[in-house]
Amino acid sequence: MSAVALPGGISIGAPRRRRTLRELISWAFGEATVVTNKGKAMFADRLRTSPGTFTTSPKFLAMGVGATGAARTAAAGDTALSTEVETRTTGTESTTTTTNTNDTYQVTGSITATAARKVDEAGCFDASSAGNLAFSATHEVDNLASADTITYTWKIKQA
Amino acid sequence: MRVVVHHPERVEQIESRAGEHLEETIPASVSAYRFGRIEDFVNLDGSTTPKEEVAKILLEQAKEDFPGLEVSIEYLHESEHDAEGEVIGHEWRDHPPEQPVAEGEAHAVELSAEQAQEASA
Repeated sequence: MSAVALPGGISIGAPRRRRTLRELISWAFGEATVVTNKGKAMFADRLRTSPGTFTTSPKFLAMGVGATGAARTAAAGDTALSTEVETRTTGTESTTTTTNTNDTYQVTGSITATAARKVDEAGCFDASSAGNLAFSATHEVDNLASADTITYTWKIKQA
Repeated sequence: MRVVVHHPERVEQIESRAGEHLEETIPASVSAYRFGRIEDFVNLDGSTTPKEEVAKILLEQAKEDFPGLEVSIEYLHESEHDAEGEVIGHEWRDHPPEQPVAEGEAHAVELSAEQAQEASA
């Protein structure tokens, strides 16, 4: 139960709200960045002269706030974020060099928070909504205030 | 930030009467205490007293007005929302929240992964 507010705003008694176990425990989760199974299929398909399935690159960047609550660590089997927030942004693509010349696919883009967000997950999709999740990440919580902007730079290197 | 007068005898009544008009359960002397959410105070000379200072003044005032009752400062942390996103309550705690980043601040996250390639003939 929340504190009781009287007319005029003062709280009397302020009974403590009973909290659920989930609220009391900070669920641990892992930080990881992976190429998903869909992403691997995407690489193969898009090498072809005419891709059969994945006709759009995974340049749509998404972020989410649900990985910690879901105790989720990014894994190859991911197909969506736990709790995606905000509108995906269309990233800027390029190839960059990590080890060998142009061996890294890079996509970067910014997303602006429309409310305070505890961002802890991100992904690259091949569509501005729904679509296939090619790369998935769970990362340390980044606390965004409303109007803050987060810029993601994804680098997928061919090993 | 707010000053809270803790009145343990009244807590039971408040909890048991949730949803009713709470004014009926509160002594007039207490309900007259109307500090609410504390903000910076603009003085007559145009200067500003920070809300932290205002809270200290109100805290001391409350201790004098309600001898024997626990009086404390609480800080607003998060608002609670229902499924539709409507604010239904606030989370107040006895310590300040972590200093939030300034609005409009830029954050950056770099994520790297390797796509392993295997060839066979």
